[in-house]
Amino acid sequence: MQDFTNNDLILYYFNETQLNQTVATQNAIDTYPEIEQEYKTMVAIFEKIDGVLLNPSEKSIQKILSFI
Amino acid sequence: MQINDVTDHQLIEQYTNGNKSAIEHLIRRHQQKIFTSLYFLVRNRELAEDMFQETFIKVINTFNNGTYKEEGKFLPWAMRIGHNLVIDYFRKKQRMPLVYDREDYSVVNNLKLHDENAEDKICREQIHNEVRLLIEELPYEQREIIIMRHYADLSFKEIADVTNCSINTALGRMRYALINLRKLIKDKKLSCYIIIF
Repeated sequence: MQDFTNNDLILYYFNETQLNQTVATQNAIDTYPEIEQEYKTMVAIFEKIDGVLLNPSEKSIQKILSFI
Repeated sequence: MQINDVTDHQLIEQYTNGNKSAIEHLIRRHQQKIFTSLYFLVRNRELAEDMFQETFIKVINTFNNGTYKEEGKFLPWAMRIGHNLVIDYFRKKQRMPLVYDREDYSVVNNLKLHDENAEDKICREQIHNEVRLLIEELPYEQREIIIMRHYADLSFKEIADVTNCSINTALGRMRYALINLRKLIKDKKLSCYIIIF
């Protein structure tokens, strides 16, 4: 556990871990409640960020299309 | 074949083969992620609209010139163009963005509506507005890392290349962004506090 960092959790969340890292991270989450809590909090924040999506105005899209 | 089943690569191919409407599908498919990224980088709607148009004009020019090389995914490539435009803009102005756009920009009107009751809708509106304002409060480099990883779908290695830093630095910025977001949510006792903690 002492070698485990939040960077590992971030990489795990974004599917950027190698297979051995994925297994180790999943084990750490399953084994240590504090790591599990840390991961759950991180996921909750990322999910909230995911929900924030803005649209450009239709005018902007039409301007681009008129350029073609 | 449904338009959703057509890949970005196929749309680009259709466009370069003369099907002009293919570009509109490509724009509409990625408009939210690209526009949201630009908005969070410049924190000003008008400027984000300009950057959005300029990004896609550069994209179209690249297609028209026949210089587009399919080396990876379309979205990260287009986001790099947008990111470079932002960097150029602030380099010319010789400062990073400081002005917040606090106009009452309705995030809700721009989000897809699902089956939800009025209470759910109000709650969702509030959380999204809060999260948007929180992201805007982060230092530029932390905002940038969230945008590039979360919306532009760049890997940490790609972000490190684009922003000229190491992967560990990129990860560190993401870590600090998360720490700051948690702190802001707690300090401000926002409505998403209950959901997150």
